[in-house]
Amino acid sequence: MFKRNKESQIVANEAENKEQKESTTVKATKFKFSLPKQVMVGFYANIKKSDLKNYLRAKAANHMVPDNTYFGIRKYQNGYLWELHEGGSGKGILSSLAKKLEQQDDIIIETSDKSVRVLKKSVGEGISSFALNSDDVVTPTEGIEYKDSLSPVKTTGFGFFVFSAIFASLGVLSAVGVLIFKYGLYHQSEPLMFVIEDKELPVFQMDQINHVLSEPNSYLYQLVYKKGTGWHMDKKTEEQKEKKKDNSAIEAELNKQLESLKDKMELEKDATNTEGPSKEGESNE
Amino acid sequence: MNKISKVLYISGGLFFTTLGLAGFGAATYVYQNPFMKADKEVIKSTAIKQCATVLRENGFEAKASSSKGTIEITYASLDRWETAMAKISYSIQACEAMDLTDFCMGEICYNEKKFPITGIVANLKYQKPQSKLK
Repeated sequence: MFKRNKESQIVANEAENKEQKESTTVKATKFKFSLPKQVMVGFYANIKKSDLKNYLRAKAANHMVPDNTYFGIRKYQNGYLWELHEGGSGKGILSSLAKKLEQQDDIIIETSDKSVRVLKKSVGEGISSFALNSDDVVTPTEGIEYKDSLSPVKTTGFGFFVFSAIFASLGVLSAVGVLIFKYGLYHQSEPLMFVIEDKELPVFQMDQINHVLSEPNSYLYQLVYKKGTGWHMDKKTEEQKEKKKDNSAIEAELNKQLESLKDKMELEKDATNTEGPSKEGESNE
Repeated sequence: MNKISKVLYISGGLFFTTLGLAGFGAATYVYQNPFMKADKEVIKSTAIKQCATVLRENGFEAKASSSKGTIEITYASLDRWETAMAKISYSIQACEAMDLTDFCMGEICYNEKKFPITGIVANLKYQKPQSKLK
């Protein structure tokens, strides 16, 4: 009898173990991500969000490994529901928890180690929660889903690094693209134009010239233009023209006479030089 | 190790952010100035040469200087001066980059070397172009 009881006990234990293993296997396959090792859930009334974050960071430092801890905050009644996860894929449960709390007061949250029990307060607002023992066999509440995105307690700067790398890539690409467009595809030089205001043309003086030429006894000696001073006409009469001609003739005649005088003087000089040396010879003797 | 990696991530992030801002800044500047700079020296010498060619084709002597940006025109005759006046005016008008600075037509006109000429002596000067965009 004793032996049979022992045997049946062994069989029963084996059956239980097999069931647990199956249920664990079922649990593991239900989630496509990692469950957190430890979950803390709570409610904090009448607090600012920034203060709550500081509180959660301190709590994570005391109870968990901050480098691998995530937190989530959700507005609830006159305060905030909060959660802290150690490990896991950084997915939270507050949205489904808040929804479930409207339907029932007792909720079991599944983790990879100790499940967490959340109880709605019968007096006052908020919730209370505690971790169950590892060997407590409890059924997790249906409808509690790990789907909210959580923030890491300790930022590593990796997100900023990735964002800035993408930003830099886009910046460099746009600069290169515009340069290729300017010098390769578009390839247009700056359009220039010549603007000369009030351009002077000699032909506009024709009327003035014809006027001078039509005057009796006068002719155009010079038409002059200088930028800044404008056009100037120098006209002379025919008499002045004739006088100039006469003056030129007289000048030529005078020059002619001067030349002949010069020649005469040269000849006389030569003659004097020839007589000079014989007289000297006579005086020496 | 985590502290070191965080410093590296932040430093790298700041560097990339600066690089990205510089890239976008450069792209904006180039986008606002899509035209390449015109070679003004080439434009100047081409304009002066073309003008000198036009003058010579019309029977004038043209002495061009790209460095000074001037053209000296000489026509040593007063025969058919009306035709000469018309042709020189047409040539100056055709040279849109050049402006008339000096002109002399008559019995005695002096060229650059102070040599007297009976006829026409004129000087043109290159005017800098303006951008059509302004």
